[in-house]
Amino acid sequence: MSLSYFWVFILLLTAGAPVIFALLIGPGVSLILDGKEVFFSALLNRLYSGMNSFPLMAVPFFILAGELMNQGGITQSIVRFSQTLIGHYRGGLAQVNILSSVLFAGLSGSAVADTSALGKMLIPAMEQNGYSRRFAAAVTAASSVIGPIIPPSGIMILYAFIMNVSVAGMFLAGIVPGILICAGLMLMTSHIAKKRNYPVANAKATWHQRGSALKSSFLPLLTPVILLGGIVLGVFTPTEAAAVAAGYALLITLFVTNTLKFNKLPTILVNAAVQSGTILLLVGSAVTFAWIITVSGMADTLASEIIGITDNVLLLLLIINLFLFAIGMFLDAGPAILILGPVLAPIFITLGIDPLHFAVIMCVNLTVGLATPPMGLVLFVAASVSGEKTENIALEMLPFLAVEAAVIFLITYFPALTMTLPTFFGFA
Amino acid sequence: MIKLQQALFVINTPLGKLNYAVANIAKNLAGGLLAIMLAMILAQVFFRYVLNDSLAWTEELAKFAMVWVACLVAPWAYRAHLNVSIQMFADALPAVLRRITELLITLLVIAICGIFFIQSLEFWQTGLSINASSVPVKLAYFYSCAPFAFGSICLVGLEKLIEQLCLPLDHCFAPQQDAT
Repeated sequence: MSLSYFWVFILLLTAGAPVIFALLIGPGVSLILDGKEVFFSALLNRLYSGMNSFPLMAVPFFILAGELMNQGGITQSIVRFSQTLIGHYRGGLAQVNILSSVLFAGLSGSAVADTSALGKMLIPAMEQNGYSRRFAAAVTAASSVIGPIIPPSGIMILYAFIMNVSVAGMFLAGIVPGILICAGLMLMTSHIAKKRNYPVANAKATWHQRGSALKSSFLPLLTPVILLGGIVLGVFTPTEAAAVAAGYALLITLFVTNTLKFNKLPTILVNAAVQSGTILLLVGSAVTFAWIITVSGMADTLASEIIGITDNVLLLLLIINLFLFAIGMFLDAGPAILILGPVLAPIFITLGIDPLHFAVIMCVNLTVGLATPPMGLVLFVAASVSGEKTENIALEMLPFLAVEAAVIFLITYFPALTMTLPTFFGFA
Repeated sequence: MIKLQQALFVINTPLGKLNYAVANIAKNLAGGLLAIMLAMILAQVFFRYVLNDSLAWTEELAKFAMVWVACLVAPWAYRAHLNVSIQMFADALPAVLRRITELLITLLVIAICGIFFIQSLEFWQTGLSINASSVPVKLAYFYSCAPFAFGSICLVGLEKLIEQLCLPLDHCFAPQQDAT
């Protein structure tokens, strides 16, 4: 089969065609040019079976859980709790922003949801406290990439599905990189805060105040514990855990915190269905495209080309990280993982890199890409929430991006950082 | 030219209304299906751990519901530009070239979805003779989501195509009319 599908795909992608259609039109044009129209039914079968998967069902449930938590006003209690913990340090509100992102990551698993929910609340508050708007937006955007790295994570589920890797293993492997990014961002913020003399947010909270703040956010914060505990202990499959997380979010927001009204439920369900449906169609199209890549022998050709560059695995990892970083600047993490995962992962697995290790490198790298210009979804959301220009936020984000790039470097060359937890729990 | 534009608008207004109605109803149905999926999987967990009795049908039905959700959302997502795309390079093109590119992309979308629509009718027919493995329901009921998705995307594509054909006329004539 000719490789015309690949060039048609690239052409359409750069011309602004929706990725989902570019993924279908490319192979379609190739089949027509090669006179192999009979394979259209095979394409349709792949598209359907690509979506008809039980593990993939975790995606809509996690999206629903995130929507419920967001709309249920859990954000406020999480921010209040973070404030009582670290609000008294210099640059306290910026640190609160970062810590809230980590706590929020355990509920939503989405960088965009994190930026939107925390940004709306914290960017105006930071501005009122003497921070520049661009700095407030930059901290929000930079810290929100922790969302899809700390479990649960939508993009990790996508990767696990398309590459047949353990979801639980990936979730566990994401914990340390997420904490490293958090620690790095906090150190950088502390340095900048001292240099610019940013204020402390509030007086040091008493243990009683901390306990009271924890009380109101304790039940939502249990979500990742129930979820990860359930999966790791073998109580639930990841899909069931996602459903339990959504059910739990529904119960606590409706009946415990009373922050969600029944009449809001239809809107939440429809929003979650629209977001999920869009991703599922993309997954189906990507599965179709991945099949064509395999059938056409392109994966093998590309593998031999990449291995031909050098036989030094460490250097190849550096090259691939730079490549992924560049891709992340233009393409969203989800589509990038779905398209490139089946092409790149087998090459590095052949070279002796653990599948889980490569999976986390790829997911973290492409997630950071969400906050990089010119096409960073998180950057756009931060700009829209703050009213600051995208390029100003991007400039202010440079020190934070350097921290995130350093973490990518660390997890690439020190596999123990990602592999220890999954190995300990028997998932690697 | 203006007559042509008016004729296109005459066609597009009811088509746009139809597409909006179909896509809106479909996305609301998708929200309902998502709730049903959640209920089924929670019931699966409840039956297994509390009643010590595994339900055999929940997983298969929830999977079919999920594919239906994706297909029901498809026309809305396309109509509301919710599908991910890279616009940076297209935005850098001159206006005329950008318009031509958009037209070509829409034509290609209609063509590929038209082909898949025909294929999905055959796909649907194969489901007429096969039952789902866990429930006595023909697979055709589940497979019918595919012709719906591709058919509705074709209609939305047609609406967009007409819109795009009208737009250059607007750009050509509106400034002249303003000038006079």
